[in-house]
Amino acid sequence: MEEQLPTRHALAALDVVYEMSTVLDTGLSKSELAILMGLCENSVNPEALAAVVKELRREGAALAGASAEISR
Amino acid sequence: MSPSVSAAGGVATGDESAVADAIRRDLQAHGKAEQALKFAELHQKLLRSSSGGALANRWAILHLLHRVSQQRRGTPSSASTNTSSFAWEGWTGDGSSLALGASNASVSLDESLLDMSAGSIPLASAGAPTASGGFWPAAAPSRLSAHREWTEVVQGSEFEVPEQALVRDVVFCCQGIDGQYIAYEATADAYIINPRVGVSRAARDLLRRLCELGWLYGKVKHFVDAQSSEQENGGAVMQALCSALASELREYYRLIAVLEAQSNEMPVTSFDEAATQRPYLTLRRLSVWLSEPTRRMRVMANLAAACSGKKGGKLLAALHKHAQHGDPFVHSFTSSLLAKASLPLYEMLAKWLYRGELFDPHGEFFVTAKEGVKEHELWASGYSVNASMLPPFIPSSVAHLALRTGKGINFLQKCCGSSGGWSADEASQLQRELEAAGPKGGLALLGSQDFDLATRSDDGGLSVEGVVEDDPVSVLGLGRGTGALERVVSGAARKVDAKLIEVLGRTFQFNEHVLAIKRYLLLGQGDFISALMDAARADLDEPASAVSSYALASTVDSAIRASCARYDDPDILGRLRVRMMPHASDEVGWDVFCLEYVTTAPINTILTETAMNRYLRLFNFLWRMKRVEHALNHAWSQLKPSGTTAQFAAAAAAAAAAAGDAEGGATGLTSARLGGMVSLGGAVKRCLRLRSHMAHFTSHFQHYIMFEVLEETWNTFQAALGEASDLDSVIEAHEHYLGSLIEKSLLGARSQSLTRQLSLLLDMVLQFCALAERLHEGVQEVASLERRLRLERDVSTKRGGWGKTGGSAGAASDDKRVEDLARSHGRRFGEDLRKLGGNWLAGLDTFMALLPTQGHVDLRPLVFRLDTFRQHNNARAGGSSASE
Repeated sequence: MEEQLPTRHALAALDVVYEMSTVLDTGLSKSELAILMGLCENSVNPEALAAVVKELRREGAALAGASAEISR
Repeated sequence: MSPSVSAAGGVATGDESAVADAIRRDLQAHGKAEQALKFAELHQKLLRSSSGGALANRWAILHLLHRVSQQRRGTPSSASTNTSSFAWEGWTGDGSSLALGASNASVSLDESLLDMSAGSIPLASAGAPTASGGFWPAAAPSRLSAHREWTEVVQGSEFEVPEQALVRDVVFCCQGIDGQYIAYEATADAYIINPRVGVSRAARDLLRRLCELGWLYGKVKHFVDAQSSEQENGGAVMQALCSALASELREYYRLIAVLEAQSNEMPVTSFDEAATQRPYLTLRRLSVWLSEPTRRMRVMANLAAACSGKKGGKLLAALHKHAQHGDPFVHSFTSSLLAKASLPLYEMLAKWLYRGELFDPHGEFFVTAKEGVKEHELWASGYSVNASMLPPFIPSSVAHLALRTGKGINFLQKCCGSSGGWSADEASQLQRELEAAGPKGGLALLGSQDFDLATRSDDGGLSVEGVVEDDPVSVLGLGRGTGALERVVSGAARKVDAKLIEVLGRTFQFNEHVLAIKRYLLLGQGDFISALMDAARADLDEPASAVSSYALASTVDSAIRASCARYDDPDILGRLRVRMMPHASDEVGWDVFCLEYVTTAPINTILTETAMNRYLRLFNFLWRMKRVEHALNHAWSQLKPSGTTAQFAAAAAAAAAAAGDAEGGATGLTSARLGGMVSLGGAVKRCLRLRSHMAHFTSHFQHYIMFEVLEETWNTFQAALGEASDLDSVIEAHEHYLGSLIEKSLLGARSQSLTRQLSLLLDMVLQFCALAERLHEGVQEVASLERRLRLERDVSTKRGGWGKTGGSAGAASDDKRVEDLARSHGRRFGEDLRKLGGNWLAGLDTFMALLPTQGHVDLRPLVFRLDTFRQHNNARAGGSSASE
């Protein structure tokens, strides 16, 4: 019980943050958001994280494009 | 891409809301108001739910979301790019932002921030000029201090002196203390901003305006201090004014204290309003806040300048003049000061009105007392209204009423002895009555506030609280209050006057005294006067130097005993004294004899010495008149037809009847002798005729004086006395009475020619009386000579002889002697009488001609009386002279 209480709070918080994220149209999935929140809670610089997200998306898009070319 | 790590590692709890706001604004900017609303709701929810501690670093996650959403939209704000570009150029080379984040991950958040901020400060200050907006990411944890430094740098480029220092200086200067940059210059009599320090022109203007307050304050403070240090000559009113000013100054100190506290503290402002990050108290704010106190202080300084060196009523007059101001603020403010300053005056007035005490150590009251005034002059000159100390809001009529009231109390206490004193009981009773009856509690200064509402309602229903506050102001004549003051004063005056009149009338019997004066000095008591005249005649015929006033005093006493006067009040009779006027060598007792009436306090306030001297003049005049009448009566009694002289008159008549008959006359008188008798008898007849003419004149004149003057004036006086409600009007009525007596008796200053003529006429009458006396003696002489001759003849006849010389020759010689004597007497007296009669008629004509010139007195009754009598006599005189 003592362990579960923070977890439940964390889940509730995650829900709220996810809603915010959808309102803001960030395009982040719930699992991605959970990872990011964890990182933030561990004092990772949000600016840096934002840069990482951007970078990963760019890389992901590039990879998708490349695989599409390969499959073609 | 160069992933730049923002300096915004600086996480402060306050930043979360800033980020949230930024997000909201962003959303709204993109027309997504609904989302913005939703986001705000969610943010609130997050705040609530995370109270359990699920999310410690909300700011970070919000910021992350913001950034990611911006990236998605592909419109990263210029602010963010700028920020990232300027903030951490030094770090970009690393390209290892993640490494940084990772390395810091284990470190506690605060420590890392501290480290970073330590490095960021020089960078931030160097880059400040380029930071046109979006300042927050660069802020260190001690953002406020960093910001302050920044503002100081920014301001430093404009002003050398920071505004806050100026504000502090202004607050100092408002307390009359020299500040760092602003100091008082005695030569310029102003607060001068140090010209060497860099202050912009606009700020200088503002400062100059603000420093006016300090200057004004200095004036007022100086005034108050000066008065409190030399209270001896300042006076109570001045002290009251100063205390009112001092309480105003206390209010002002309170304000200054608040300002001072605020100038030191930084306000709590929300972060995003960066503009208010400047010091809370600015010069402009000060100028707004201090405008009202400056107005007040300006009025106070004006008043201080106007009032310095003045005291009492003059000071109140100056205040009142300033209160007559079109500006309602100045009017009400000055009026309230005036109300406070005039409290001592009203206290003095109350003491004076209720107790007759003149408590005025500084000479401020409008009533002043004269030192060393004798009792009988107390009323007339003991107290006076000092017009220069009379405040203009007290009408002069009210002031005089107040003067009379207090004077009346003093008069009762000092002059009326134990029977008429004004006791403390009466004073407090009067006060109570007035304060109960007065609609606004009278002067309301004596602290009585328990008036019932019913009596106050006629004044427009004041609130209970309003009474005390309101009263002095309204009493000051700023509106309806004059009426209240007047009511109180006139109420007190009525009470005191009534008491005074009662004491004078009942206890001191003023009326009886005046009546006694009328009866004795104005010869109203006829039997007394004729008794006195008869008794004193012998004494008064003596030369003036030989007359003893003591003998006359006993004569007066006996005259009193011989007349109805003996039933009079012994007190009044005891006041009758004989007085001898200073006399010339040839005057007789008649001229110097005077009756005097002694008056004592308090009656001598009305019957003053001057008044008594005028009574003496009247008495002299009337007494002379009486004396003339008496002398004429005496002359008649000597020459009356029944006496010896009647023979001559009868002889003259007989001779006239039988003029040609030589043998005529039963006594066998010869025609020669008869001629002498006719001559003497004619003189007697002429004398009697002239006497009756004179007696007519004097008696008519006396009737005029008695009936037309004395009685009429007396009636008027009694009527006025009945109406008189105060001592002043009694005095005035008496003065008027006495004045009209003098005027109508033709003794006034404007009737001098008439008086002289009248006195000439009376002199003539006296001459005539002397002549009549001599005539009487002459007749007696002739008669006694004849008697003697006849006796001798009879004796010799009895002896048997033929008379002394024998024969008709002897008789003839005897007759001749008598006849010669009679003829010489007759001729002499006839001549004198004719001359005197001519003079008399001429004098009378002059007198009658002068009468109409006396326009100021109504002399018609006198003219009428004398005229008819003159016509009558002229006709007779004309007839008789024609017959002669």
